[in-house]
Amino acid sequence: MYGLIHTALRQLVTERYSVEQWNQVLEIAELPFNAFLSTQSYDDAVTLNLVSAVSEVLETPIEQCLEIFGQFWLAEFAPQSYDMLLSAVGGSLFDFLDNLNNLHDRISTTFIGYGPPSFKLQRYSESEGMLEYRSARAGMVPFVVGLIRGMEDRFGVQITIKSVEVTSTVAGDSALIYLKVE
Amino acid sequence: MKTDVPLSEVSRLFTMTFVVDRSLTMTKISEALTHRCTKAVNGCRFSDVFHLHRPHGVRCFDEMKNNLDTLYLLIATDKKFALRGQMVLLDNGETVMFLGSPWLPWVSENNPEVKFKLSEFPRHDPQMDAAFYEATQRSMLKDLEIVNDELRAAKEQSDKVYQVQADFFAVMNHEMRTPLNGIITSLSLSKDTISQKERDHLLKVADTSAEHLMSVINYVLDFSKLEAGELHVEDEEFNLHDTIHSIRDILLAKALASNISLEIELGSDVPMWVKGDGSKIRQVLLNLVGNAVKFCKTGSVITRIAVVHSMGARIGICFKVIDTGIGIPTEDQAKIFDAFWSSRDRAPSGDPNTGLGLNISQRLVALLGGVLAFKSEYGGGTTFDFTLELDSIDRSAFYDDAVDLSQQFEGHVLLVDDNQSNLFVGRILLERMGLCVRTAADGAEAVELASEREFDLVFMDIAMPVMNGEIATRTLRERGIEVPVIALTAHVGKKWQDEYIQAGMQGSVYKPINKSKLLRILSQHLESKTSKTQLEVEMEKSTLDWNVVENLIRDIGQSNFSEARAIFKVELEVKVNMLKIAWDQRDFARIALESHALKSSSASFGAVDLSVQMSKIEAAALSRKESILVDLVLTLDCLVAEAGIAFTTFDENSDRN
Repeated sequence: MYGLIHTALRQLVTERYSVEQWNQVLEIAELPFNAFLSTQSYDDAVTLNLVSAVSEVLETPIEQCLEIFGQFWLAEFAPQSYDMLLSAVGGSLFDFLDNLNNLHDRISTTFIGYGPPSFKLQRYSESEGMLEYRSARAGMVPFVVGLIRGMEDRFGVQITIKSVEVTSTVAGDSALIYLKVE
Repeated sequence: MKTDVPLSEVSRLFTMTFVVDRSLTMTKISEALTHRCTKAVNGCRFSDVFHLHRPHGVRCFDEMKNNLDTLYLLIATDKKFALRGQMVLLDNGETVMFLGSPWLPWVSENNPEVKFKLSEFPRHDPQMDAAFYEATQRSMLKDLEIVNDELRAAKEQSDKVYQVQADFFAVMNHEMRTPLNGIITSLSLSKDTISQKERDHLLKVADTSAEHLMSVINYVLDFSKLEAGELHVEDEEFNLHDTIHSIRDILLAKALASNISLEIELGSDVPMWVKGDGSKIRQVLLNLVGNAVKFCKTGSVITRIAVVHSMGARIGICFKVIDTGIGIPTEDQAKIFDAFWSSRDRAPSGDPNTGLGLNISQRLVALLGGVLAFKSEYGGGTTFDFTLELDSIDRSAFYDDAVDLSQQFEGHVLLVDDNQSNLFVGRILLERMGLCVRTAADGAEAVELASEREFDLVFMDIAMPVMNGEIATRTLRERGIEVPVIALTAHVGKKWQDEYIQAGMQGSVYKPINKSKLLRILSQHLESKTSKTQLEVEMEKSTLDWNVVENLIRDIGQSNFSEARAIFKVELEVKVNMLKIAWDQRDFARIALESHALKSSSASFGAVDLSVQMSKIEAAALSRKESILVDLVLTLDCLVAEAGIAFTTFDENSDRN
């Protein structure tokens, strides 16, 4: 994972919780460094250690932490640096979801070595659809669910996630996320 | 084989497309372009829609044809949009086709309100990727700025720590070496000294230097604990009034020797018993009052304690130490709480001067939840104050065993301590309570004594040479000796108490021991006599400061003391008579001279009230205030008589012991 993810995680913990708790996270994660650079590539183990430590410090299950993080990423962190890009992805929820794959294609051209997930939207009606998610990384589905929840404020809609069907294999995770816009 | 690419396929690869003919008329304009440039409709003229930014100098169709390998940058004539792309030749050279996309940097710069969609950029177009890259680089710069700030802060902190260490070693080098040299030199010289008087003097110097060194070490230990965050706030019931008075007792002799009156003003509503960290409050006040005495050349030091607010049992108590000393120069006021800073040029020589006292006091007060502040005017005295929240304790509600200070006991007590002065004071305190006392200087001696004869109670110091208190107690228990053992300890806290109980002890009493602490322990383990002797009553009423007397005896020995006291008694009688004669003659200079001499000698022999009276007489005589002197001289006989009675009582008590 790139340091951008860790920078966002630090911002989430320090702003929503406290600097002392972030310092505890670093202590528990036992990393040989305590600063992250956005464009520096870090071993996935670093990210997993950090998320696991956040879960321990906040006394919250890892899945719930990832969902909170996904929501924070889309609603607060990404707009700080990438608002123009996010606007280009789509002006409505389904436009945005439809272009997620295009966005990740472009991210791949910048972050060399990054193995992004892929997305495919299937529309059922004006208000309902299914987002198909595939990733070589395991355990990130709650983060995607958090991303979708983070879109509520951005597009001024209320999203109901009707179901999430996760399939895990050695090749990674895939999920079918059924959602409805109110 | 014909390989022309159909326009529908071209528009998948390029979002902004149009065709221009020889007349520079635009046709086949893509929808995405028309959406952004409303002037771009079929049949419009190229020059009406676009200004050609690059290539330069292209004004006609043929020049376009000649610049096919050039990047075309087109800016809409209304300056709201721009394109980038290339021209290709169509229709056997009769038309050219523009294939391109929005010129993102130009639009972002000139019309930032334009919101693009990803779909407006062909998949292979890198402009949006570059925008993402730039944003990430900006984020990276922010990261580097944060790292830079953190490194700078860490360096500043490291520099500060280095400076503190450097200051520490510089100050300690001087402050520790000086008394250590005093001890070594005095002890070395005393070996070769023949005269007993010289030897006593050298030992006195060594003793004073050792006390000085101990004081410096205590400061260093407290400072280190604070730096390491190892000092914690205790929450225990303690007698606030006793605490305040004990500070006065400790510093009184020094104050009197410097002609300073040491006063306590305790508000009538200040509770006697409170819950808080008594030892830290005492340490802070001892430092502040000690400093005030140090920097006062004359006048007074007042310790004023007042309740400033209360809510139920929770009360705010303001502690003030007010002196009439030399004050703190304005330029020094910002530095007085800095570690290792001290006004060396103004402090009397010989006193510990680590520059840690106020720093420690300030941090202790902060630890207790208060703020240590001061007001000072150079030449006009200084006032330090802090307010703490404490819980007032209605002691009668919690203690059935309120201490009766006149209580007397029966029994044999073994007092074990390697410190001779502690043994001396402890023995006197216990004997005055009616007890037979044996002493031992270490655990092994205590075990031996307790094995030879029966004791009713043992007070056992913990840290001792040869055998410590815990091992000694375990040994007693192993030998089947079940005498109650009470630990004398400087360690406060449940952890230590548990350890002592594990060793077989029945309780503990914190050092320094005092009468009320001892009484509480004694009443739990020994039978009390019904009442104390008349002699004891008289001693308690005494105007004599027993600590001063006992210290003097310790310093010069009992026989020397008796001799010196006899001389003083004669001197007192003679000089009081001379003072009265001078008063009758209104010879103020003579009054001041006689009272000055008696002030210091009275203080030396513990006649506190008499010394204070002499100090007042001297001040009044120097300012020729006759009206004040009338009362002072009138009550003088009474005070002299009281001092005489007190001396007699002390002598009788000493003989009895």
